[in-house]
Amino acid sequence: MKKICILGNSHVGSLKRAWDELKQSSVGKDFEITFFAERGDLLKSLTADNKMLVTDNMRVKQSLAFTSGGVSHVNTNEYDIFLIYGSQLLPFWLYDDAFYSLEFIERSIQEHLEGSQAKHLLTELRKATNKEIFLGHDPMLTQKSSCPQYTVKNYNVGMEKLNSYLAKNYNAKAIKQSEITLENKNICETDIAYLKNSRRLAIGFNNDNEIHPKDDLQHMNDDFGSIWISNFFEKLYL
Amino acid sequence: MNNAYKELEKKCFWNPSVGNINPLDIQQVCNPKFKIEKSDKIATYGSCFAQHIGKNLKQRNFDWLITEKAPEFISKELREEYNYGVFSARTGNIYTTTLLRQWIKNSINNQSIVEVWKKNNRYHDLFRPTIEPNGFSSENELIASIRHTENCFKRSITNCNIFIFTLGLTESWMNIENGFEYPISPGVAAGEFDPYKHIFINQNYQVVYNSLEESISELKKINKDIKIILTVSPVPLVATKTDKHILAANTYSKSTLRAVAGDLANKLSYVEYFPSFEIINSHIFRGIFFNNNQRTVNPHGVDFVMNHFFNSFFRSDCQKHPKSELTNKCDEELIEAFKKS
Repeated sequence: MKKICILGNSHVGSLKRAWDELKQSSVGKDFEITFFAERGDLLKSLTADNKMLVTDNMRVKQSLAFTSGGVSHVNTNEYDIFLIYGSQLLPFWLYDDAFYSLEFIERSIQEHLEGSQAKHLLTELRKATNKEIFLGHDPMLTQKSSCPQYTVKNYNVGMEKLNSYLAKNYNAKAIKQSEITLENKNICETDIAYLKNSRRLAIGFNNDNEIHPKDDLQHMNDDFGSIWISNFFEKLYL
Repeated sequence: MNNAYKELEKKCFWNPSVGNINPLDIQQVCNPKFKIEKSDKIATYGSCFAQHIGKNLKQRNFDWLITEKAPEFISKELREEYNYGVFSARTGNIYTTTLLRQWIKNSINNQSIVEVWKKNNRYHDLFRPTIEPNGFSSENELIASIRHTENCFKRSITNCNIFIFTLGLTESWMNIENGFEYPISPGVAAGEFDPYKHIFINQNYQVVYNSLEESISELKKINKDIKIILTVSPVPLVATKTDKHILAANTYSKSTLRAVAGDLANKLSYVEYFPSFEIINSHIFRGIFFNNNQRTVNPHGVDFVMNHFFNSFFRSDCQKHPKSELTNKCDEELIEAFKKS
């Protein structure tokens, strides 16, 4: 049984609710997951203290305790694998028919990570443990958003470079979003079906599990979370 | 009494179109042979001043053709630091017509000589000395980069409807051993100057004319429907390697470029000349478009010339847009660092 620790922001909501279903099934038989989540970027208050990630922020402590089932700090000794999910890490892509210098790619990745909660957590977590760390970026936006389109080829090239960078600098690895969640197999846009009935992360607030407003194009539903976790487990088996 | 001037338009006479009006109200400085459609793809290259044209095309939502690009989510600052979106491909400044011809030929054979300068374990491309702020990590990376740029340069010629080239200099630097031209003297931005290998040539009218005519001919071979707009940079030379005073050297250089651009535009139906040089430099404006150094063009000048450009060439509505940015990338200005105090 592998013990997985998932840290992240509101996007963790879809994974957590999906896991509540999956853990009863054969998909979850080899894994145990503990979630440490808080909305926004409040997990930036977590800092490494020996083998632990701790916070002085009372609200964050309460959210951690709520999402983990009672623990308000992360003791890295208790887990085998770590996943930092969402947390303002966006998909990284590069034009696949272009040539970029190594230095430009590294500068682009540094800029891409800069200021994100994902980078903060990765940095602090790496101070606390040498164990495996994975990252999962925010879900790709849907067709409804006005962001420039990029192709799956662009995404594959970018994520390969991101992983080289993460391996070299953090001994960590980013997990790609499964292609079956895309609207079109060539374009990186999440199928709008995964927006339907997406719910807020539960942290012990009145609006826990409330359906996101219709104009929220970022947060995905439990079906998406289920696919993401299943895909993640497949990578862990490899 | 009949005479040859009687039927001419107002614009042909000095007093009604210049002398008796506010210079800022001057109109119809260019009546081009062809117009640019909003849907036309436009490639831009040349000296520093050419960068304003590209930036303005983008600001006004025209189809500025960028064939070598960085992802849009990367910050503008980082993209510009690595020279993405400065010209249609990452050629750096192409100051001379002979260098334009060299780029076209290299893009066709894609096997050009590459001159690499190694310093502190970084590799610098002497044909694009400032293209990467810290050089490349290896010679192979440098070669892969320049080959990619050559391909992108060619693709921009193939895919554009309009090719805009801004002529900047007649003063040039050649490698006498291998017969190629540098954009800037070795030793200024990268490399070591070798007086036995690196020679200075101040190109005369015939050299500029022949190389530009040959360049245009090659452009036409690659893209038979291409239309070309020539401009001359109004920005004076930062320094001259001739023994002349910089003022006289600058006048020689700009006069030569202006004459060649005008003659080829007069000769070829698909080539037009746009007078950005005249608009900025004419005495009627009393230097108001220059910064205090009397060399670099201020935002008012850039806006003024760009408004004339868009009003001349575009059928579509070209609303004036936010003031131009003046953060151009000019290798030539590095020469200034070497001046004697």
